[in-house]
Amino acid sequence: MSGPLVIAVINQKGGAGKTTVAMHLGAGLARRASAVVVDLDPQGSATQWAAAGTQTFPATVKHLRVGAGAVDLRRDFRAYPFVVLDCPPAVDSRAAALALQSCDVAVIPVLPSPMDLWASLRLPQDIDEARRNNPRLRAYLLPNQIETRSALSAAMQEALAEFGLPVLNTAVRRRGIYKTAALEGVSAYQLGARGQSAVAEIEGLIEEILA
Amino acid sequence: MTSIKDKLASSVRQAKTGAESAPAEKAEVRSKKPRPDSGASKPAAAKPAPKEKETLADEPPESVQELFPDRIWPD
Repeated sequence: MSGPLVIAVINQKGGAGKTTVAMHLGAGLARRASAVVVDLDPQGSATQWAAAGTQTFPATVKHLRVGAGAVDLRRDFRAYPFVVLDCPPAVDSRAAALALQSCDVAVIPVLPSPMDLWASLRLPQDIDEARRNNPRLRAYLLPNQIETRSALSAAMQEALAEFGLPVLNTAVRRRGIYKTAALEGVSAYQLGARGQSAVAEIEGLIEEILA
Repeated sequence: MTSIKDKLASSVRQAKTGAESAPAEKAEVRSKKPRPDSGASKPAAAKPAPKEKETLADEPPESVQELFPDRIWPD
């Protein structure tokens, strides 16, 4: 493989859990080879997350403001085998467009809520458009913040079929440990037994992406 | 009684149909613009408007399309 594997975590809907997924993908991938999480969101949540920790975050986290100038993410981060892009909550932003043009894999976290599903419906079209310039792009829906006893969560699979994009087998559950990790500026990998279940699902997600 | 699964899937289907028809409606508004003699074709071109009535509570009057053909009314 030439150059880094670039994974964009993207969804135009705010609050879909993009930063949590991006940070944990970064942390998990960093166990395999060096990884960078590129914070493309002007809110800078990923940067803040990494800065909050008393321990060093396993992946490098860099905030990047995409302005009018030319940016080549693959070239700029070629030193890292794994590049995770934490995208802003707007697909029509320059940063999100750049992410879709530069990535190998787009992971789209979607929540088990009607409003979130409706708001994410534009994504397949954006992915199709991005594929014109980036034919290597693979895109997957990731059921995120799933609640085991919720009927809505159980109903997700059928609703996601309407998107016409492949759905990852791994679903990320709603877990307090992810919030704890953000608060402590670490990843679930650094939280020992408390983070074990979260680590298992993130590992499942990474294995699927790398397959 | 419809299950939550069916309801959720059908709501997504419905939203998808709405999202797909929106660009088509926009294109139609644009295609009206260059026609100098749109008088004869007006009734046929205005047909999609009643569909919007079902979803929008306070819709602008149809005459708005003639006065401001480029304008997309906010929802």
